[in-house]
Amino acid sequence: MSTVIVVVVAVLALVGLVFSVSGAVGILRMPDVYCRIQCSSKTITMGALPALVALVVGEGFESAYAARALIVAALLLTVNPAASHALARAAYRAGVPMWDGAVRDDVKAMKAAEAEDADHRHGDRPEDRREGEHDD
Amino acid sequence: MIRRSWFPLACWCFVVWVLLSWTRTAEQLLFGAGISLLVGLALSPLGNVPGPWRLLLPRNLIAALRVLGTALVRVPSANLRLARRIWSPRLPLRSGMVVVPTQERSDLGLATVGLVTSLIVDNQIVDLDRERHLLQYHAVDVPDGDSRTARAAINEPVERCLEGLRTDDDQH
Repeated sequence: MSTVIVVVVAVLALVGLVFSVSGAVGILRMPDVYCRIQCSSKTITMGALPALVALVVGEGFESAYAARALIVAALLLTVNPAASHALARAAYRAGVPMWDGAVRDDVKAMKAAEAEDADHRHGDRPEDRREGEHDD
Repeated sequence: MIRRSWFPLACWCFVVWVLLSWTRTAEQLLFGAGISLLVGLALSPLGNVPGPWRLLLPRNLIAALRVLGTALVRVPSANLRLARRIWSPRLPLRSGMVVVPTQERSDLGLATVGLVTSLIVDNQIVDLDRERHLLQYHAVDVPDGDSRTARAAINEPVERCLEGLRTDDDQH
């Protein structure tokens, strides 16, 4: 293996290592489950891909390693976002809260607006109920 | 467009066999073809599978390359931003749930947008509402502005790559 290839492999492995460590630190540092899911799944994906490219460069583009690395990369790129989607969706539906510093929750705002609309449509506003009680 | 048959599934299986075995002898290829045939027949009741040859159609190939290019540019930059945020506690974390409109209607379009936008580490798709054409994301750095501004930052770049496919897929 020539020196250039060794350097390229070492740099790619180092890049992968940096992103993997960042993901691990992010899991510890992030304040809620949703941010942690993002750190755990995708930064680690970005950590694995350079390592796979390093394997391909080191072993040669026409080796069996290259073909298998391609399959592993395709699986990582499709399964990882799908798995983190499933985790995040399950957490949100189970009512796992975001941290107090979260700046926006459009779903909560939409549900509140829909509930208010429904109350208006059915005349079920508290003031309507009070008026009804007076009529009786 | 998508044939309900065992053949496309067997073709995908054979592609995986060739990549995994990486031995180009007649015995290996024939054995792989036999196994792929069996797998295709056994799994065909699970549903439709588009064949690998569909990727070779110029329109699909161009869309796939555009999505790949967008992902190759945005994934590393988003990962760098998140890594910087992880290592710099002083940077403010503006996370939240964002609901954005989508123009995708087909299964393929929604799956592609969901996967590629989730690969970009800023966002994670959480849920979708197909009736109202809305996507729910968790964002680590929530874009300022209304849902249209958020769409421009989150899913519009990927959806723009799929514009060539949209009309045809919507018809089916």
